[in-house]
Amino acid sequence: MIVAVIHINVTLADWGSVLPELIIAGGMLLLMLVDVFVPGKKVNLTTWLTLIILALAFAASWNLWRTGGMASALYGTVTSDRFAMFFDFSILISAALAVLISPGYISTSAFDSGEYYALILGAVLGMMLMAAGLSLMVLFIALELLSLALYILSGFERFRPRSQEAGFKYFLLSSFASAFLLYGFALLYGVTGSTSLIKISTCLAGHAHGCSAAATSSPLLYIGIGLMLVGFAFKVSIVPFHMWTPDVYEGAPTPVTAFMSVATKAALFAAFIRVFSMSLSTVESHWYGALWALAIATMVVGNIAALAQSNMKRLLAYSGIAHAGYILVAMAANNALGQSAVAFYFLAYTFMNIGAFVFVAYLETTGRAGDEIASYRGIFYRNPALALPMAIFMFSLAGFPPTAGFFAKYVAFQAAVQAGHVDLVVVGVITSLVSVVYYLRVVAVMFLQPAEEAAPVEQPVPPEQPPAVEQVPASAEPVTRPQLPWNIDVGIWTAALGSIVLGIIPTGLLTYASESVTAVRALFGLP
Amino acid sequence: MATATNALGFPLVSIILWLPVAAGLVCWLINDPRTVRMIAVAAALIDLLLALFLLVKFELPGAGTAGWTFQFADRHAWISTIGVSYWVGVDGVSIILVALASLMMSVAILAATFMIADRQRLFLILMLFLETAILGVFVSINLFLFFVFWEAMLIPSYFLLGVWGEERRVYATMKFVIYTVLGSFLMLVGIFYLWSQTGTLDMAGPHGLVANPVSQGAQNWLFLAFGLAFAIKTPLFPFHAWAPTAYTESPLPFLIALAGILSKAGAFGFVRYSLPLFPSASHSWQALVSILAIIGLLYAAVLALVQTDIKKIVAYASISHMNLIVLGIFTLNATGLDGAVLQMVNHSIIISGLFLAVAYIFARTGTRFLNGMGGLGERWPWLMWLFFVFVLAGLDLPGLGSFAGEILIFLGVFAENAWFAVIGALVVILAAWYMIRFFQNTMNGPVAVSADEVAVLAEAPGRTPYQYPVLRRLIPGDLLPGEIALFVPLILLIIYIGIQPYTLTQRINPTMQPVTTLVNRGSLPGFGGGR
Repeated sequence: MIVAVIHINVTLADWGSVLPELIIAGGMLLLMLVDVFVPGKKVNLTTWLTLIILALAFAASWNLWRTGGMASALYGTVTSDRFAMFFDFSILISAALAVLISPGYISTSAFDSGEYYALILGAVLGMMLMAAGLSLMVLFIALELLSLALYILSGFERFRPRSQEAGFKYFLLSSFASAFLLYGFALLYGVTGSTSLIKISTCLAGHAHGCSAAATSSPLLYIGIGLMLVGFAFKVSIVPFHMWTPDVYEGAPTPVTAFMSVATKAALFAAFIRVFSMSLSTVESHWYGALWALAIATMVVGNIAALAQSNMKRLLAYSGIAHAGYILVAMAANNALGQSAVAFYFLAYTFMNIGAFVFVAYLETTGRAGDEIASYRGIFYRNPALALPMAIFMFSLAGFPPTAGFFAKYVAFQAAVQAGHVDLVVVGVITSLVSVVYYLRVVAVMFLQPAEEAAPVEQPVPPEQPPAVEQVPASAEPVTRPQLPWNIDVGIWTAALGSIVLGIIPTGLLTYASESVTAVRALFGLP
Repeated sequence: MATATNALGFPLVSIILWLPVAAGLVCWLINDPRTVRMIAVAAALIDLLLALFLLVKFELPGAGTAGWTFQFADRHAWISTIGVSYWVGVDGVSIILVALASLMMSVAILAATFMIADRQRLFLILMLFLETAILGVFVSINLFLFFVFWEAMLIPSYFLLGVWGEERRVYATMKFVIYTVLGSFLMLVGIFYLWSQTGTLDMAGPHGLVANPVSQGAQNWLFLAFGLAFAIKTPLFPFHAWAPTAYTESPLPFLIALAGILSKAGAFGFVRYSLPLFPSASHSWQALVSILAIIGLLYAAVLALVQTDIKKIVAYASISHMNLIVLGIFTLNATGLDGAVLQMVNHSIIISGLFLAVAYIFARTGTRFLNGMGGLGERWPWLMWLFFVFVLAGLDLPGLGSFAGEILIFLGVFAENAWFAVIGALVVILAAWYMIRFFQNTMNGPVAVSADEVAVLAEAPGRTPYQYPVLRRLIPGDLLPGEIALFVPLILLIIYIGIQPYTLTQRINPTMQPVTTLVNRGSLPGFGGGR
C-alpha cells in the first residue's frame, strides 16, 4: 500500500495568477444570491453587477498582462501568460457587450435575469480557463463548464420552440463532440504519459526521460490527434462539423448568440493553438494536411452557404464559419506571425461581429422581425444612427480597409504566405470576394432601397432647400425614428469605433498580440 | 532605385491628403446645411490651392540627373513588422494627378451643392472621404498604404452610387463593387507575395521594391494579379462591363469623380506599379495589353456611335479614350507614356465637361434620349456654345487639350508597332463621328419637343432637376451662372493645355524617363540593382 504524501505547496502568487477567474467565479455566486435574496424586478441591478464583475476581471487580467503573469501555476495546470490574457480581453469585452445589450431583450422575452447573468459568467469562467489551461484535464473541465452554461443559455427562452430546439440540438451534438475530444485527450495521455501540455511537447520532441521514442509514430497518436481535431472543429464550427451552428445561432436569444459566436471561438482557438501549434508542434506533419483541408472546406462552404441566407442570424452564423476558416489559415501557417494574427483576429472579430448582433438584438426588441434581412429595407432612411454602424460592421466583416476586419485578414493571410501556403491564401481571397456579395447585400437592403413608407411625400421640395428632416407619414408605426436606448447606443458605437480604430492604428494591439505569442512560444520552448 | 526628398521641410502632402477627411468629420458634427456646404467647398478649394502650390514648387530635375525622385515626402513608421510604413510623396506624374484630382473634386463638390438636395450633407461628407482616398492612391509610396486607399475608394463610392443613383442603381452598384473587388483582392495576393519575397512594401529607397525586382517567373504572375485590378478600374477591354451601367446610373457629382478621377487611378496603377515593379513582365504582356486596348478603344467608340441615351454616349466615349491611354502606357517608351499621362488630364477634363453638359440638358428636357431632343441650341445658345468646346476637344481639334496628348500617344505607338498605330488611329474618325452626331442631334435641327410635352418622370421629394427622377419643374432658361461657373475652369484648362502642354510634360517626362529606362534595361543608370 502506498501512502502518498502531498505537499500543499500553493503560494499566494498561484492564486493571484487565477485572480480573474476567481473574480468571475465569485461574481457568479454573488449573482445567484442576489437573485434569491433581493426581491422585485432587478434587471438593472443584475446588469450593472455583471458589468462591474466583468470590469474587475478585466482589470485583474490587465494587471497580470502588465506583470507578465506566471508561466505555470497551480502545479502546472494553468498559466497566466500574456497569451491567455490577450484572449481574456476578447472574451471579457464580448461578454460585456453582450450583457450591455441584454436588458431590452430580457424585458421583451420575460427572462429570469439573475440566472441568465450567472450562466453567462459561468460560460466566461469556462472560457477563461480554456484559454489558460496547461493541462488536458483543465481544458476538458473548462470546456464542459462553458458548454453546459451555453446549452442552458441557448434554450433560455423556454417558451419559444426555436430556442428550445437550439438548446437541445446544441446539447446533443456538442456533448458528442466533447466525447470525441475527451477520447482524443485520453489517447494523447496514453501515448505520452502525461496530461501536461508542456510535458507532452517535451515527450514528443524526444527530450523526456521515460517517454517512449516511438511515441511520435504511434498509431494511437494519429488517432488521438484526429479525435481532438474533430472535437475542436465541432466546437469552433469548422466544416464539416458546422451543421449545428446556424440552427443554434438562429434559435438562441440574440445576446447569447452574440456572446457565444465570438467568445466561445476565441477560447477554443486559444486552446486549439496551445494543444496543436504548441504542444504538438513537433508532429506538425501529422495534422497539417487535415488542417489544410478543413480550412479550405470551411472557407468555401461557409461563404457559399451564406450567400443563400435570408435570415440575418443564419447569415452571421455562416459568416462566422467562414471567419473560422480564415483563422484556420492563420493557424495553419504555424509561425509566430500566424499565431499573433489569430489573437488579433479575435479582438477585431469581437467588435465587428458583436456589433452586428447588437443591431439584430435591438431590432428584435422593437417588435419587428429583427432577424429577417428583408425587414431592414430602407432602415437607413428611418434610423441612420442604427444603419451607419451596421454598415461599418458589414464592411469590416467583408474585409474592406480601413477597418479592423481588413487588417486582421491581411495579417492572417500574410502569415500564411510567409509560411509558403499560397494555395490557402488564394482560396481565402477568392472566398472573401464571395463574402463581399452577401455582406454588401445587407448594406444594399439598408441603404439603397428606400422603404416604401418613406417614399411619397406631398410637397415637392424646391431644389435650393434640402429638406431638413424627412417627413414620416402619420400612419407609420410610432417607432420609425426612435432615439436608441443608451445601452444599445453605447454598445453599437463602441463596436463601431473598435472596428475602425483597430483598422487604422492596429500597431499597438498587433504588438501586444505578438508579445502574447512570444510568451506562449517561450513556454513551449519554440523560437 | 527611386529616392525621396522633402525640400519644404513640412508635410504638405499629408496636409493635402487628410484635409478633406478632417473637413468631412467636422461636417458630420454640424447640422446646418449652409455651414456644411461652406466647409465642404472651402476644404475642396483649399486643397486645390495647396495642390497648385505644390505643382509650382515641384522641383524639375536638371537635364543631367537621372533618377526617379519623390518630392515633398513624409514618412512615419506604421506597422514595421510586416513592412508597412506611412510614406507619402509625389513624383512628376502623381503631382499632376493630385492637382487634377483636387480640381475635379472641387468641381464635383461645387456641383453637388446645387445638384443634390436629398441628404446633401451626407453626400458632401462622402465626397470628402472619397477625395482623401483618391489622393491617397496617388501619393502613397508604400504598397500597403496604396492598397488601403485603393480599397477605401470603394466604400464612399458604394454609397454615392447606391443611395443617390438612378433607377437601376442597386444593380449598377453591386456590379461595380464586385468587379472592382475581384481585381483588388487578387492584387492583395500579389502584395503578400511581394512582401514574402522582398520583406518590404516600400517603393523607394535602396531596399525598396523598385531597387529589388523579383524573379522573372514571379513577375509574370504578379503582373497579371496587379494588372487585373488596374484593368478593371481603368476600364480596359474586356473588363469594362461594369462601367457603362455605373456611369449611367451615377449622380452627376459622383460621376465627375468616377469617370474623371477614379478611372485615372487604374491607369496610374499601370504607370506607377506594373511597369517599374514588373519590367520584364511588362514586355512579355505588352503586345496582349496593346491589342486589348486597341479592340477596346474601337469597340467602345462604335458603341458610342449607336447609343440613343446621351449619358451612354459619353460613357462609351470615356471608355474608348481610357483604352487609348492604356495603349499609350504600353508603348513602354517615354513618348507614349508622356502622352498617356497628358491624356489622363485631358480625358478627365473633357469627360467631366461632357457629363456636365448631359446633366444640364437633362435638367432642361427631363430626358436623356436623343429622340426627345433636337434644336436645343436655338433655345439655349450658352449651353450650345460651351458644350461645343467640349465636343471639339473630344474630337481632338488641334489647339485644344487632347490633341497634344493623342499625337504623343500615337507617335509612341508608331515607334513600337506601326500597325497598331494605323488601326488605333481609326478611333479619331469614329470619335469625330460620334461627337458630331451627339452634338447635332441635341443642339441642331428642328425643335423636337417643347418642354411642356416632355415625358415627366415620377415626382420625388428632395430632388433637384439634375437628379433622377426629376422634379416636374425643369429649369426653363439657358445656363444659370452656377452652371457656367463649373464649365469655366474646365474650358480654360482645355485651351491652356492645348497651347502649352509643355507645362505638364516638363514635369511628366523626368519621371517617365527613368521609368522607361527601368522597364527597358531592368535597372536605373547609376544604381547597381539588377534584374
